Amino acid sequence: MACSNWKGWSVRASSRSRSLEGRGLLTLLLAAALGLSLLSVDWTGGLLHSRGVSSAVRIFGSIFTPELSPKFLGLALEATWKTLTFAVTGVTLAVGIGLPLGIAASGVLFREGWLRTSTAAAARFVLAFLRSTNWFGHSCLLWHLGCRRWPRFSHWL
Amino acid sequence: MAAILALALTYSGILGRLYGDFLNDVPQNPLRALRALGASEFKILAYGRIPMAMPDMLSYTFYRLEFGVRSAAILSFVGIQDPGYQIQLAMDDLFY
Repeated sequence: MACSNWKGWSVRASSRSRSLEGRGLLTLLLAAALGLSLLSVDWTGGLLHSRGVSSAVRIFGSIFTPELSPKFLGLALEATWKTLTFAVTGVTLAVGIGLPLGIAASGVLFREGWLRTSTAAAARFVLAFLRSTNWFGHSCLLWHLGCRRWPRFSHWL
Repeated sequence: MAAILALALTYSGILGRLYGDFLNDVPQNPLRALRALGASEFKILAYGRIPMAMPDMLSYTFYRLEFGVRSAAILSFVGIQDPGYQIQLAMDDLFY
C-alpha cells in the first residue's frame, strides 16, 4: 500500500514491531517451559538401564545381517499380503460407510429448510463420534461387545 | 473381523467428513447450469458434484489407505498374523 507521508510509515512500523514483540515473548515463554522441564529431570543416575545396552547393540547389529532364507521371505510375503488384505478391506468398508454419511453431512441432497439442517447435523454428529476414538479404542470396544477372535490379546485382560 | 471393523469405523469418520467438504467446495457455476436445466438435487449430486469432487476424494482415499496399512501392521499385536506378529514372535525369541 502506498504511503503518502512518513507518519503512515511510523504507524505501520510500530504495529509490526508490536507483533514481533508478541512472538518474541511467546518464544521466550516456550523456551523457559522447555528449560524448566529439562531441569526437573534427574540426570545423575538411573536414566538409562545398563542391561538394555547389550540388547540395543544386538538389535542394531542385526540390521546388517538380515534373514534372507527362502522360508523366512515366504513367511514375510504371506504376512505382508494379509496386512494388505486387512487394510484394503477396512478402507473399502470405511468408504462404504463414510460416503453416504459424507453426502448427508454436506447437506447437498436438500435445498433449504429444516430437513437439510437436521440431516447435516445428525450426520456430522455420527461422523464426529466415529472420528473421536482411535482405531485401537474401537477394537477394544468391539472386543467387549463380543467380537472375541484375538487369541493373543485375551491374556492381557 | 473385529480388526477390519475397527479400521473401518475410524476411517469412515475421517473419510466421511472430508468427502462432505469436497462435495461442498466444488465450483458452483456448472451446478447452477444443471439447476437451470431443471435437474433435481440428486441429479446435480450424481452428475455435477461427485464427478468434480472425484479426483480429490480418490486421492484422499488412497492417502488413508496408506494409514490403514500401517494400522493393520500394528494390529498384529492383537493376534492378526501379519508382519508385526512375526516381528513380535522373533523378538520374543531374541531372534533379532
